Amino acid sequence: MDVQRIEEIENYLQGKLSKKKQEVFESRLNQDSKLKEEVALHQKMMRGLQELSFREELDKAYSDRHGKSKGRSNWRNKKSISIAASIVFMIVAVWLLYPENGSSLEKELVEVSYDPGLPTSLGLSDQLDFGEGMNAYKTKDYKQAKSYWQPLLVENPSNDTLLYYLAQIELIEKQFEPAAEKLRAIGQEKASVFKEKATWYLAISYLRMNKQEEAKVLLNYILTEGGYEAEKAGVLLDHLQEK
Amino acid sequence: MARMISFLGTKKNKLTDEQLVDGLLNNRRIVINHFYSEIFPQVKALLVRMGAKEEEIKDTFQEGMVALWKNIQNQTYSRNSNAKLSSYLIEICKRRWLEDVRNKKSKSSLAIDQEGLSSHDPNVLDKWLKREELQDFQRLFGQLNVRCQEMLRRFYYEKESLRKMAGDFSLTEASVRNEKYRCMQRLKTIFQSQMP
Repeated sequence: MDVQRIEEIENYLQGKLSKKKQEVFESRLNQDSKLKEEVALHQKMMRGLQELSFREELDKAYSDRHGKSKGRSNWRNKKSISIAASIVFMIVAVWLLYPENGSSLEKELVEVSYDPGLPTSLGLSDQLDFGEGMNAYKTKDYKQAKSYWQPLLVENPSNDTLLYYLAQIELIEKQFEPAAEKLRAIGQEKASVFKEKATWYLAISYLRMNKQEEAKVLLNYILTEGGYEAEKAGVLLDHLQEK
Repeated sequence: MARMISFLGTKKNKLTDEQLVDGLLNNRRIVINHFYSEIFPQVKALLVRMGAKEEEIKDTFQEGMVALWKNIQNQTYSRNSNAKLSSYLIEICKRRWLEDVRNKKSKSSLAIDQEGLSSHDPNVLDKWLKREELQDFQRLFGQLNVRCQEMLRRFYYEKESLRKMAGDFSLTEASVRNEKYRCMQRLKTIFQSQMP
Protein backbone atom coordinates (compact mmCIF):
# COMPACT_ATOMS: atom_id res chain seq x y z
CA MET A 1 0.00 0.00 0.00
CA ASP A 2 2.73 2.39 1.03
CA VAL A 3 4.81 1.44 -1.98
CA GLN A 4 1.89 2.31 -4.22
CA ARG A 5 1.39 5.64 -2.52
CA ILE A 6 5.04 6.54 -3.04
CA GLU A 7 4.91 5.43 -6.64
CA GLU A 8 1.91 7.63 -7.23
CA ILE A 9 3.83 10.55 -5.75
CA GLU A 10 6.78 9.72 -7.98
CA ASN A 11 4.64 9.51 -11.07
CA TYR A 12 3.17 12.88 -10.21
CA LEU A 13 6.57 14.45 -9.67
CA GLN A 14 7.88 13.02 -12.90
CA GLY A 15 4.86 14.21 -14.85
CA LYS A 16 3.86 10.67 -15.72
CA LEU A 17 0.21 10.94 -14.68
CA SER A 18 -2.45 11.51 -17.29
CA LYS A 19 -3.88 15.00 -17.30
CA LYS A 20 -7.00 13.89 -15.54
CA LYS A 21 -5.18 11.91 -12.85
CA GLN A 22 -2.85 14.82 -12.33
CA GLU A 23 -5.77 17.15 -11.69
CA VAL A 24 -7.29 14.72 -9.23
CA PHE A 25 -3.94 14.36 -7.47
CA GLU A 26 -3.47 18.11 -7.28
CA SER A 27 -6.87 18.69 -5.77
CA ARG A 28 -6.06 16.05 -3.15
CA LEU A 29 -2.75 17.81 -2.60
CA ASN A 30 -4.49 21.08 -1.88
CA GLN A 31 -6.74 19.53 0.71
CA ASP A 32 -4.34 17.13 2.36
CA SER A 33 -1.43 18.86 4.08
CA LYS A 34 0.14 15.55 5.11
CA LEU A 35 0.22 14.43 1.49
CA LYS A 36 1.73 17.75 0.53
CA GLU A 37 4.50 17.30 3.07
CA GLU A 38 5.15 13.79 1.82
CA VAL A 39 5.42 14.99 -1.76
CA ALA A 40 7.77 17.80 -0.77
CA LEU A 41 9.99 15.45 1.22
CA HIS A 42 10.05 12.87 -1.54
CA GLN A 43 10.97 15.47 -4.08
CA LYS A 44 13.71 16.77 -1.84
CA MET A 45 15.21 13.29 -1.54
CA MET A 46 14.97 12.62 -5.26
CA ARG A 47 16.50 15.93 -6.17
CA GLY A 48 19.22 15.69 -3.55
CA LEU A 49 20.14 12.27 -4.83
CA GLN A 50 20.09 13.38 -8.44
CA GLU A 51 22.10 16.54 -7.93
CA LEU A 52 24.63 14.81 -5.73
CA SER A 53 25.12 12.09 -8.33
CA PHE A 54 25.29 14.59 -11.17
CA ARG A 55 27.94 16.66 -9.39
CA GLU A 56 29.95 13.53 -8.74
CA GLU A 57 29.76 12.68 -12.43
CA LEU A 58 30.98 16.16 -13.30
CA ASP A 59 33.93 15.81 -10.96
CA LYS A 60 34.73 12.47 -12.51
CA ALA A 61 34.45 13.79 -16.05
CA TYR A 62 36.75 16.70 -15.19
CA SER A 63 39.40 14.61 -13.50
CA ASP A 64 39.26 12.02 -16.27
CA ARG A 65 40.34 14.74 -18.66
CA HIS A 66 42.67 16.71 -16.45
CA GLY A 67 43.91 14.42 -13.75
CA LYS A 68 44.72 10.92 -14.79
CA SER A 69 45.26 11.57 -18.46
CA LYS A 70 48.79 12.90 -18.10
CA GLY A 71 50.81 9.74 -17.69
CA ARG A 72 49.06 7.66 -20.23
CA SER A 73 51.56 7.70 -23.01
CA ASN A 74 52.89 4.71 -24.90
CA TRP A 75 54.85 3.28 -22.03
CA ARG A 76 54.71 -0.16 -23.54
CA ASN A 77 56.95 0.63 -26.47
CA LYS A 78 58.90 -2.57 -26.86
CA LYS A 79 62.23 -0.96 -27.64
CA SER A 80 62.29 1.28 -24.61
CA ILE A 81 61.66 -1.17 -21.84
CA SER A 82 63.70 -0.01 -18.91
CA ILE A 83 65.24 -2.04 -16.14
CA ALA A 84 62.60 -0.74 -13.78
CA ALA A 85 59.90 -2.01 -16.09
CA SER A 86 61.57 -5.39 -16.27
CA ILE A 87 61.42 -5.59 -12.51
CA VAL A 88 57.71 -4.84 -12.65
CA PHE A 89 57.39 -7.61 -15.20
CA MET A 90 59.15 -9.98 -12.85
CA ILE A 91 56.74 -9.13 -10.07
CA VAL A 92 53.81 -9.70 -12.37
CA ALA A 93 55.34 -12.95 -13.53
CA VAL A 94 55.83 -14.14 -9.98
CA TRP A 95 52.30 -13.19 -9.15
CA LEU A 96 50.95 -15.09 -12.12
CA LEU A 97 52.71 -18.21 -10.95
CA TYR A 98 51.93 -17.75 -7.26
CA PRO A 99 48.54 -16.09 -7.39
CA GLU A 100 47.96 -16.09 -3.65
CA ASN A 101 50.74 -13.53 -3.23
CA GLY A 102 49.46 -10.55 -5.11
CA SER A 103 46.65 -8.50 -6.47
CA SER A 104 48.20 -6.57 -9.32
CA LEU A 105 46.45 -8.36 -12.16
CA GLU A 106 43.53 -5.99 -12.19
CA LYS A 107 45.79 -2.95 -12.47
CA GLU A 108 47.79 -4.68 -15.15
CA LEU A 109 44.74 -5.60 -17.19
CA VAL A 110 43.02 -2.27 -16.97
CA GLU A 111 46.11 -0.25 -17.73
CA VAL A 112 47.39 -2.23 -20.65
CA SER A 113 44.00 -2.46 -22.23
CA TYR A 114 43.17 1.20 -22.07
CA ASP A 115 42.97 1.59 -25.83
CA PRO A 116 39.42 0.63 -26.64
CA GLY A 117 38.70 0.02 -30.26
CA LEU A 118 35.24 0.67 -31.49
CA PRO A 119 33.21 -2.32 -32.61
CA THR A 120 32.15 -0.73 -35.84
CA SER A 121 30.19 -3.77 -36.86
CA LEU A 122 27.58 -2.91 -34.23
CA GLY A 123 24.53 -0.81 -34.95
CA LEU A 124 24.46 2.80 -33.80
CA SER A 125 22.45 2.32 -30.66
CA ASP A 126 24.52 -0.74 -29.76
CA GLN A 127 27.65 1.33 -30.18
CA LEU A 128 26.30 3.80 -27.70
CA ASP A 129 25.62 1.03 -25.21
CA PHE A 130 29.09 -0.28 -25.88
CA GLY A 131 30.45 3.18 -25.07
CA GLU A 132 28.49 3.31 -21.81
CA GLY A 133 29.94 -0.07 -20.95
CA MET A 134 33.42 1.20 -21.72
CA ASN A 135 32.92 4.17 -19.42
CA ALA A 136 31.88 1.82 -16.64
CA TYR A 137 34.84 -0.44 -17.42
CA LYS A 138 37.30 2.42 -17.17
CA THR A 139 35.94 3.35 -13.77
CA LYS A 140 36.23 -0.30 -12.76
CA ASP A 141 32.48 -0.69 -12.47
CA TYR A 142 32.67 -4.12 -14.04
CA LYS A 143 29.20 -5.17 -13.04
CA GLN A 144 27.78 -2.22 -14.87
CA ALA A 145 30.04 -2.79 -17.88
CA LYS A 146 28.85 -6.38 -18.09
CA SER A 147 25.24 -5.30 -17.91
CA TYR A 148 25.80 -3.32 -21.11
CA TRP A 149 28.02 -5.77 -22.92
CA GLN A 150 26.52 -9.15 -22.18
CA PRO A 151 23.25 -8.46 -24.01
CA LEU A 152 25.26 -7.13 -26.95
CA LEU A 153 27.31 -10.32 -27.06
CA VAL A 154 24.17 -12.43 -27.19
CA GLU A 155 23.23 -10.61 -30.36
CA ASN A 156 26.77 -10.48 -31.73
CA PRO A 157 28.36 -13.70 -30.46
CA SER A 158 31.50 -13.46 -32.56
CA ASN A 159 32.21 -9.76 -32.05
CA ASP A 160 35.87 -9.73 -31.08
CA THR A 161 35.76 -6.42 -29.19
CA LEU A 162 32.99 -7.61 -26.92
CA LEU A 163 34.63 -11.00 -26.45
CA TYR A 164 37.91 -9.33 -25.57
CA TYR A 165 36.64 -6.86 -23.00
CA LEU A 166 34.24 -9.29 -21.37
CA ALA A 167 37.14 -11.74 -21.10
CA GLN A 168 39.19 -9.00 -19.40
CA ILE A 169 36.48 -8.57 -16.79
CA GLU A 170 36.26 -12.31 -16.25
CA LEU A 171 40.03 -12.44 -15.74
CA ILE A 172 39.79 -9.69 -13.15
CA GLU A 173 36.97 -11.58 -11.48
CA LYS A 174 39.06 -14.75 -11.62
CA GLN A 175 36.59 -16.58 -13.84
CA PHE A 176 39.25 -18.17 -15.96
CA GLU A 177 37.22 -20.84 -17.73
CA PRO A 178 34.74 -18.50 -19.43
CA ALA A 179 37.51 -15.99 -20.08
CA ALA A 180 39.58 -18.64 -21.85
CA GLU A 181 36.59 -19.68 -23.91
CA LYS A 182 36.10 -16.12 -25.17
CA LEU A 183 39.80 -15.62 -25.84
CA ARG A 184 39.92 -18.85 -27.85
CA ALA A 185 36.98 -17.60 -29.89
CA ILE A 186 38.98 -14.47 -30.74
CA GLY A 187 41.85 -16.70 -31.85
CA GLN A 188 39.56 -18.29 -34.38
CA GLU A 189 38.76 -14.98 -36.01
CA LYS A 190 41.12 -14.56 -38.92
CA ALA A 191 41.82 -10.86 -38.84
CA SER A 192 41.03 -9.72 -35.33
CA VAL A 193 43.09 -6.81 -34.02
CA PHE A 194 42.75 -8.40 -30.60
CA LYS A 195 44.32 -11.67 -31.65
CA GLU A 196 47.81 -11.01 -30.25
CA LYS A 197 46.53 -9.69 -26.96
CA ALA A 198 44.02 -12.52 -26.70
CA THR A 199 46.87 -15.02 -27.06
CA TRP A 200 48.73 -13.45 -24.17
CA TYR A 201 45.72 -13.38 -21.91
CA LEU A 202 44.79 -16.91 -22.86
CA ALA A 203 48.24 -17.96 -21.71
CA ILE A 204 47.59 -16.19 -18.41
CA SER A 205 44.24 -17.94 -18.09
CA TYR A 206 45.86 -21.31 -18.63
CA LEU A 207 48.46 -20.55 -15.99
CA ARG A 208 45.80 -19.61 -13.51
CA MET A 209 43.91 -22.82 -14.28
CA ASN A 210 47.11 -24.80 -13.73
CA LYS A 211 47.26 -25.81 -17.38
CA GLN A 212 50.96 -25.15 -17.62
CA GLU A 213 51.65 -27.19 -20.73
CA GLU A 214 49.02 -25.32 -22.74
CA ALA A 215 50.37 -22.06 -21.36
CA LYS A 216 53.93 -22.93 -22.37
CA VAL A 217 52.90 -23.64 -25.95
CA LEU A 218 51.30 -20.23 -26.20
CA LEU A 219 54.13 -18.40 -24.43
CA ASN A 220 56.65 -20.01 -26.75
CA TYR A 221 54.59 -18.94 -29.69
CA ILE A 222 54.38 -15.35 -28.37
CA LEU A 223 58.12 -15.29 -27.72
CA THR A 224 59.16 -16.64 -31.10
CA GLU A 225 56.66 -14.60 -33.06
CA GLY A 226 57.47 -11.43 -31.12
CA GLY A 227 53.82 -11.10 -30.21
CA TYR A 228 52.14 -8.94 -27.61
CA GLU A 229 54.09 -9.00 -24.30
CA ALA A 230 56.85 -11.12 -25.79
CA GLU A 231 59.26 -9.96 -23.06
CA LYS A 232 56.92 -10.98 -20.30
CA ALA A 233 56.35 -14.28 -22.05
CA GLY A 234 60.09 -14.89 -21.93
CA VAL A 235 60.28 -14.12 -18.21
CA LEU A 236 57.35 -16.41 -17.54
CA LEU A 237 58.86 -19.25 -19.56
CA ASP A 238 62.12 -18.97 -17.63
CA HIS A 239 60.18 -19.26 -14.39
CA LEU A 240 58.23 -22.22 -15.66
CA GLN A 241 61.41 -24.05 -16.73
CA GLU A 242 62.95 -23.50 -13.30
CA LYS A 243 60.00 -24.87 -11.40
CA MET B 1 18.65 5.86 -27.69
CA ALA B 2 18.55 4.59 -31.22
CA ARG B 3 18.20 8.14 -32.40
CA MET B 4 21.57 9.01 -30.98
CA ILE B 5 24.34 9.07 -33.47
CA SER B 6 27.52 7.44 -32.32
CA PHE B 7 30.26 9.94 -31.74
CA LEU B 8 32.61 7.67 -29.90
CA GLY B 9 35.10 7.11 -32.61
CA THR B 10 35.67 10.41 -34.29
CA LYS B 11 35.29 14.08 -33.70
CA LYS B 12 33.40 14.52 -36.91
CA ASN B 13 30.21 13.06 -35.52
CA LYS B 14 29.17 15.74 -33.08
CA LEU B 15 25.94 15.39 -31.17
CA THR B 16 23.01 17.59 -32.00
CA ASP B 17 21.52 19.85 -29.34
CA GLU B 18 18.54 17.57 -29.09
CA GLN B 19 20.78 14.62 -28.38
CA LEU B 20 22.68 16.61 -25.76
CA VAL B 21 19.46 17.64 -24.05
CA ASP B 22 18.18 14.06 -24.06
CA GLY B 23 21.51 12.89 -22.72
CA LEU B 24 21.45 15.37 -19.84
CA LEU B 25 17.82 14.62 -19.12
CA ASN B 26 18.71 10.97 -18.74
CA ASN B 27 22.06 11.60 -17.03
CA ARG B 28 24.09 9.76 -19.63
CA ARG B 29 27.76 9.74 -18.67
CA ILE B 30 28.83 9.69 -22.28
CA VAL B 31 27.07 13.00 -22.89
CA ILE B 32 28.54 14.58 -19.77
CA ASN B 33 31.98 13.59 -21.03
CA HIS B 34 31.12 15.15 -24.37
CA PHE B 35 30.47 18.51 -22.66
CA TYR B 36 33.89 18.34 -21.06
CA SER B 37 35.64 17.44 -24.28
CA GLU B 38 33.81 19.84 -26.60
CA ILE B 39 32.49 22.82 -24.65
CA PHE B 40 34.76 23.08 -21.62
CA PRO B 41 37.75 24.16 -23.76
CA GLN B 42 35.66 26.99 -25.22
CA VAL B 43 34.57 28.17 -21.78
CA LYS B 44 38.12 27.88 -20.55
CA ALA B 45 39.47 29.99 -23.41
CA LEU B 46 36.89 32.68 -22.67
CA LEU B 47 37.37 32.74 -18.90
CA VAL B 48 41.16 32.72 -19.15
CA ARG B 49 40.86 35.92 -21.15
CA MET B 50 38.67 37.27 -18.36
CA GLY B 51 41.33 36.49 -15.78
CA ALA B 52 40.03 33.27 -14.25
CA LYS B 53 42.35 30.61 -12.86
CA GLU B 54 42.09 26.89 -13.61
CA GLU B 55 40.31 26.00 -10.36
CA GLU B 56 37.87 28.88 -10.79
CA ILE B 57 37.16 27.81 -14.37
CA LYS B 58 36.50 24.27 -13.22
CA ASP B 59 34.03 25.48 -10.57
CA THR B 60 32.34 27.97 -12.87
CA PHE B 61 31.87 25.37 -15.57
CA GLN B 62 30.55 22.86 -13.07
CA GLU B 63 28.03 25.37 -11.71
CA GLY B 64 27.05 26.29 -15.27
CA MET B 65 26.51 22.62 -16.08
CA VAL B 66 24.41 22.17 -12.95
CA ALA B 67 22.31 25.20 -13.87
CA LEU B 68 21.77 23.91 -17.40
CA TRP B 69 21.01 20.41 -16.13
CA LYS B 70 18.45 21.76 -13.66
CA ASN B 71 16.76 23.73 -16.40
CA ILE B 72 16.55 20.60 -18.48
CA GLN B 73 15.30 18.50 -15.56
CA ASN B 74 12.70 21.18 -14.79
CA GLN B 75 11.82 21.26 -18.47
CA THR B 76 12.32 24.99 -18.47
CA TYR B 77 15.01 24.80 -21.14
CA SER B 78 13.36 25.32 -24.46
CA ARG B 79 14.64 23.01 -27.16
CA ASN B 80 13.28 25.32 -29.77
CA SER B 81 15.14 28.37 -28.63
CA ASN B 82 17.31 29.88 -31.31
CA ALA B 83 20.50 29.79 -29.30
CA LYS B 84 22.71 26.78 -29.65
CA LEU B 85 23.05 24.78 -26.46
CA SER B 86 26.81 25.39 -26.35
CA SER B 87 26.31 29.17 -26.66
CA TYR B 88 23.69 29.01 -23.95
CA LEU B 89 26.02 27.18 -21.58
CA ILE B 90 28.92 29.50 -22.38
CA GLU B 91 26.68 32.47 -21.62
CA ILE B 92 25.63 30.98 -18.28
CA CYS B 93 29.28 30.41 -17.35
CA LYS B 94 30.26 33.92 -18.40
CA ARG B 95 27.51 35.49 -16.34
CA ARG B 96 28.34 33.34 -13.32
CA TRP B 97 31.97 34.33 -13.53
CA LEU B 98 31.15 38.03 -13.78
CA GLU B 99 28.80 37.69 -10.85
CA ASP B 100 31.46 35.89 -8.82
CA VAL B 101 33.95 38.64 -9.54
CA ARG B 102 31.39 41.30 -8.62
CA ASN B 103 30.51 39.49 -5.40
CA LYS B 104 34.14 39.14 -4.43
CA LYS B 105 34.75 42.81 -5.08
CA SER B 106 31.77 44.08 -3.18
CA LYS B 107 31.98 41.24 -0.67
CA SER B 108 28.25 41.17 -0.83
CA SER B 109 26.42 37.97 -0.12
CA LEU B 110 23.99 38.25 -2.97
CA ALA B 111 22.56 34.89 -3.77
CA ILE B 112 23.54 33.65 -7.18
CA ASP B 113 20.72 32.64 -9.40
CA GLN B 114 21.05 28.88 -9.43
CA GLU B 115 18.90 28.62 -12.49
CA GLY B 116 21.18 30.71 -14.62
CA LEU B 117 19.18 32.23 -17.43
CA SER B 118 15.93 30.67 -16.38
CA SER B 119 12.92 32.92 -16.46
CA HIS B 120 10.88 30.14 -14.93
CA ASP B 121 8.97 30.97 -11.77
CA PRO B 122 9.34 27.90 -9.62
CA ASN B 123 6.38 26.86 -7.52
CA VAL B 124 6.68 25.43 -4.04
CA LEU B 125 7.23 21.90 -5.28
CA ASP B 126 9.79 22.83 -7.84
CA LYS B 127 12.76 23.76 -5.71
CA TRP B 128 16.16 22.23 -5.55
CA LEU B 129 18.17 21.89 -2.39
CA LYS B 130 20.23 24.89 -1.40
CA ARG B 131 23.98 24.45 -1.49
CA GLU B 132 24.31 23.92 2.28
CA GLU B 133 21.32 21.60 2.28
CA LEU B 134 22.95 19.53 -0.42
CA GLN B 135 26.10 19.22 1.67
CA ASP B 136 24.00 17.99 4.59
CA PHE B 137 22.20 15.64 2.26
CA GLN B 138 25.50 14.22 1.06
CA ARG B 139 26.54 13.50 4.65
CA LEU B 140 23.20 11.89 5.50
CA PHE B 141 23.10 9.86 2.29
CA GLY B 142 26.49 8.49 3.28
CA GLN B 143 24.88 7.00 6.37
CA LEU B 144 22.87 4.57 4.26
CA ASN B 145 24.44 1.21 3.61
CA VAL B 146 26.26 0.86 0.30
CA ARG B 147 23.65 -1.41 -1.23
CA CYS B 148 20.88 1.10 -0.50
CA GLN B 149 22.98 3.91 -1.91
CA GLU B 150 23.55 1.96 -5.08
CA MET B 151 19.91 1.01 -5.46
CA LEU B 152 18.67 4.56 -5.02
CA ARG B 153 21.32 6.00 -7.28
CA ARG B 154 20.61 3.52 -10.03
CA PHE B 155 16.88 4.01 -9.86
CA TYR B 156 16.62 7.76 -9.33
CA TYR B 157 19.75 9.04 -11.05
CA GLU B 158 20.63 6.51 -13.71
CA LYS B 159 16.93 5.84 -14.26
CA GLU B 160 17.44 2.14 -14.57
CA SER B 161 14.39 -0.03 -14.90
CA LEU B 162 13.31 -2.37 -12.12
CA ARG B 163 13.84 -5.22 -14.55
CA LYS B 164 17.47 -4.34 -15.20
CA MET B 165 18.14 -3.85 -11.51
CA ALA B 166 16.44 -7.15 -10.72
CA GLY B 167 18.86 -8.88 -13.09
CA ASP B 168 21.92 -7.18 -11.63
CA PHE B 169 20.94 -7.72 -8.00
CA SER B 170 19.67 -11.26 -8.67
CA LEU B 171 16.26 -10.38 -7.24
CA THR B 172 12.73 -10.39 -8.55
CA GLU B 173 11.34 -7.08 -9.74
CA ALA B 174 8.93 -7.06 -6.81
CA SER B 175 11.81 -7.47 -4.35
CA VAL B 176 13.75 -4.65 -5.96
CA ARG B 177 10.67 -2.46 -5.75
CA ASN B 178 10.23 -3.21 -2.05
CA GLU B 179 13.88 -2.89 -1.18
CA LYS B 180 14.21 0.39 -3.02
CA TYR B 181 11.16 1.64 -1.17
CA ARG B 182 12.62 0.64 2.19
CA CYS B 183 15.90 2.36 1.33
CA MET B 184 14.08 5.55 0.47
CA GLN B 185 12.12 5.37 3.72
CA ARG B 186 15.36 4.91 5.64
CA LEU B 187 16.87 7.93 3.92
CA LYS B 188 13.84 10.02 4.80
CA THR B 189 13.98 8.90 8.41
CA ILE B 190 17.66 9.80 8.65
CA PHE B 191 16.99 13.14 6.99
CA GLN B 192 14.06 14.02 9.23
CA SER B 193 15.77 12.94 12.44
CA GLN B 194 18.94 14.89 11.77
CA MET B 195 17.85 17.96 9.91
CA PRO B 196 16.61 20.93 11.91
